[in-house]
Amino acid sequence: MKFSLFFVLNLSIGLIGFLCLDAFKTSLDRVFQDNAKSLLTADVEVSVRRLLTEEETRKAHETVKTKYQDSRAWELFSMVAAGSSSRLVQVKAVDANYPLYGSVQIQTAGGKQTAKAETLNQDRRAWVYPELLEQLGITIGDSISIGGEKFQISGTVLEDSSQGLRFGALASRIYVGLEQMKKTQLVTAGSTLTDNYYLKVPENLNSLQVVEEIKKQIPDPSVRIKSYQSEAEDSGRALKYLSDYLGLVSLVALFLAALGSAYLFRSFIYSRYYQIAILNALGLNKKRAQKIYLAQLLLLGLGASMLSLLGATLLLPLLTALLKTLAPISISVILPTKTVLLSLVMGVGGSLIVGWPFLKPTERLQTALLLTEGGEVKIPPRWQDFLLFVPSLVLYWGLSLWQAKSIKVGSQFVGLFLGSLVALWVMGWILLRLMAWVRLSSPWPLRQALFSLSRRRLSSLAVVVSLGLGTLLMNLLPQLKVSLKQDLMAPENLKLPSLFLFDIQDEQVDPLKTYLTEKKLDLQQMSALVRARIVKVNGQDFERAEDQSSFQTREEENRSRFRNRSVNLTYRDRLTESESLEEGREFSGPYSADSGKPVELSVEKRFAERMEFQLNDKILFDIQGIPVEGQIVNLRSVKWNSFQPNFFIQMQPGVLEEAPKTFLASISALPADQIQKLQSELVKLFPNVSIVDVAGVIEKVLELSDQMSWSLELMAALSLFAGFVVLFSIANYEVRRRSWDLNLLKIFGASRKSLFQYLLFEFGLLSFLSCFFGVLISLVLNLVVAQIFFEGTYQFDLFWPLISLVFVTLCSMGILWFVSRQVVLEKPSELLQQK
Amino acid sequence: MSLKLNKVVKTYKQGDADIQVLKGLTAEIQDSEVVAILGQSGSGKSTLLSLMAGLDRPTSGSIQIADKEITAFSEEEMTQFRGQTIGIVFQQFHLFPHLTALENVMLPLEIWDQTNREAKAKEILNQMGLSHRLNHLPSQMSGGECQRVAIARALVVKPKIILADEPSGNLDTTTGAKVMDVFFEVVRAFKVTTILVTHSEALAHRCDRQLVLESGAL
Repeated sequence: MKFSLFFVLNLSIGLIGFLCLDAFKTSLDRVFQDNAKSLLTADVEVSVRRLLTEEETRKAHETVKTKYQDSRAWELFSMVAAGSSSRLVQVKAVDANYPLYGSVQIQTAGGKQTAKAETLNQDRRAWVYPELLEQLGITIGDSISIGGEKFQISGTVLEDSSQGLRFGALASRIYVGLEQMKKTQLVTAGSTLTDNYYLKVPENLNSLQVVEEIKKQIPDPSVRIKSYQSEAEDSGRALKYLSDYLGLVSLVALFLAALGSAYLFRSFIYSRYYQIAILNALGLNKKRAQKIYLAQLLLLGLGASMLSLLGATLLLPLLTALLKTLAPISISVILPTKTVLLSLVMGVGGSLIVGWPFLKPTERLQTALLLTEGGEVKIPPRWQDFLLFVPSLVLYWGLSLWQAKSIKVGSQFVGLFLGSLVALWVMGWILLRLMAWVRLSSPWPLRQALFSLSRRRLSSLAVVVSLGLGTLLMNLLPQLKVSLKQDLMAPENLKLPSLFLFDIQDEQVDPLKTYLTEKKLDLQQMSALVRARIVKVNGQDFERAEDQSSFQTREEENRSRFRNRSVNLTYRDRLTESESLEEGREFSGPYSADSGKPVELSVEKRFAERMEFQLNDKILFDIQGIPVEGQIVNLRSVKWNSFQPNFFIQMQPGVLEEAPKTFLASISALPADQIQKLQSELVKLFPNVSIVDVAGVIEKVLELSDQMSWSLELMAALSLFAGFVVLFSIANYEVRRRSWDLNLLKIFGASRKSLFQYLLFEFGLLSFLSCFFGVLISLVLNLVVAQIFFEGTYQFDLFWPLISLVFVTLCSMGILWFVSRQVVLEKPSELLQQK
Repeated sequence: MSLKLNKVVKTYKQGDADIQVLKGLTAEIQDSEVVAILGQSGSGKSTLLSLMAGLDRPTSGSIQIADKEITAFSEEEMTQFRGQTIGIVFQQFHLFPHLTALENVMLPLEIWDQTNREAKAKEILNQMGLSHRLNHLPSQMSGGECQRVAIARALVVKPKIILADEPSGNLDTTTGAKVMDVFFEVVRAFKVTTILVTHSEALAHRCDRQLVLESGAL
């Protein structure tokens, strides 16, 4: 009974996180699919990071021919100012037809209403998100300045059906009329904007077919054409990536649960060897005996499924409530049929997979040993028995790939996970071996605790792995956050700028420099930005990637997103301090048209990997109508966290100087109290220049990482909880199994206090060491991750390791005290009753 | 006098009914005496042993060991008294599976924080003919050897009384006989008062006196 209870409890704890996540993913997909048209505001969208040409919009609507409705919107970053305050905002300039689907609800002085975009186009009005009012210290009815033109705030946005998920927004959104925006002259050639053309197609037309037709008409891969169906896929990408990682963390909890269940079943089946042998002696075939236990496993798996479903059902309202803080769209997480089926498959399948490696060898049970002295039946060990665990490992790997939706990430996870597991096992094994050499003469509870730990190695190692992995996860995320913070706030060998400026027009460069010089400030790293399109790579057409709905992995999806982008080019004669050469050589100097050679290119290494570019590849660009061929002469790494103007592709000087361009630059060493003042002055003088307050962005990114990480931390906490359940199960089983030993110690005169001391020493020491190893591995992993992703910035934080060491050890001792209380307090007379 | 039982009654509850296992049992056992208690299954032998070991309390009556009334002891006092005064040998050996023979025997000495533990344990194991098995785990020894280790462990603290519960009950006849030979040899050499609970009349006749437990009385 106790075994069954603990087995079911263990497995269901592991399944709960997994099921909640599956329910969450399914609900998220359902919500985005249900709201896909509202999210896109259309059936079909044609967009590009420049102004769409008349011809392109004409080709798009001609595909539909009749009975279509269309709408247009520009999206761009700009500065808004009110009084002495200014902020970078995301301006969405919409025409009178916007939105074709969905709505924008606004709060006006007169109350709540569905907003009509005609009003925005008739007058200089704006709808803003409520936080902007607070940031600028203004109210509805006040005026703001966008690009030097005044707009009156007519309402604040309460609900916006096109806004999928809001976390991660670095700038507040603001709606203005497209016609009014055109009059501001804010958008000129080379401005950084996205031009969107929306189509509502007649009901008899299939949007996907319309998209395919437009793609044929507009072959430029930088023009993105998508239907509302692919918008459903695209929406909430951040949440989907997050849920991929959550899925992986939930697998750790599942593994720990399986480990606990396997340990319990192993102990259970060992205790049944005697029964199986007797049944066999009485004429029952061993295979039939196996079937009895298989049926038992099946029922236990079913029980675990039911319990985990119950747990998930209880947790889902909490998940729904938490999601409300992230998504303006109401996401109600329910338990879909698919998740219920998944729980049955995972519960029953998991139970069988966990138990089979221990059940299968009972075929070799030596029944004849019943007739020997003591009558202890055994199974002769065989190395091939280890192969019985292979299906579990393969299944685990498969689950990881499924959760991560990436062969690379899923396999890396399994590799790191198994590596950590092996490291914990080896560290535990070495330490337990060392413990065997420790010879303490007193006190006896400590001496016996060391004996017990080092001689009952399997149960000790199971605890080391369970608690170690739980602690590892609990530590890894906070440690990574500390490194991330350090990396963002103070990147190694780099000084962060105070302000980052973009969209500086050619003719504004000199006045801007003069203005700043007067202020005794420097405009640093002034870099030109030239828009271009990749036409061919090594003579092959650079084709548009397939539609998103066909992507099998996240890598394919990412690659496609990059391939569909137009590129921003710059020219530099040498690498900046935030760049370093990885492969190839530096530029040979300014380009000479007489050389007959292609223009030299420098490509950022990770971008090259995604685009599958190699050193010496030849790339043909279309730079605003002029073909330019370049050859990659080096691959370089970039510290993007330097917040300096950096580019994926750079050309050698001498080619782009005359092309239409804008500039980017940065301003450093501004005292914090002067940043806002200078920003507002610059907005007045250069209204079209967009300015990023770097400190503010860092704050936002950290806020975003906090938002992302709470759920990962929650899942890691579930893993730690699963670790505690394993400890509880093992401790409970061990204490029960050792009740005779404990009673014997009482007979020898051991007091209850010393018995508690003995058990607490044993499990306290084990928990402390498990936690210590977990922390140690988390620090190593943090170092590795920091080397790979943060390029060396590593910050050691003592807070979490210390807290987890104390917390896990105390919790473990508390669990041990709870499970051992009854046995320690019982009378030892049972020893004489047992025969 | 080593042990005195006076009108010991032990009643258990079974559902609503009271089952009287021991019915006013009285007996006296002298110092260094080796006494066998014979009785059929269910006659109350194990209950009597539990009471004499202070592992359970009588419903009424008194039990004196070394002139101490053990029924008046608190749980902790009894634990301490038992550890220093009484050695128990079990039918099932009850050795600690993760400890070697030597470590099993040293354990009671550790609990009492005695000096020269290893030497004392080795000496008694030597007397039991197990000097070649000092560092073996119970799983590496035969049943007879395990029982000899258990006897050594019971004697190592030099108790005043040994309570032995069918020490050869789990062994084959030949091994059991060999173990009991050693047992009698040692308890007589140590001059320790011994109460041996057994089914075997042959074994009982090797004791100084035989008491038969029948229907809850001796």
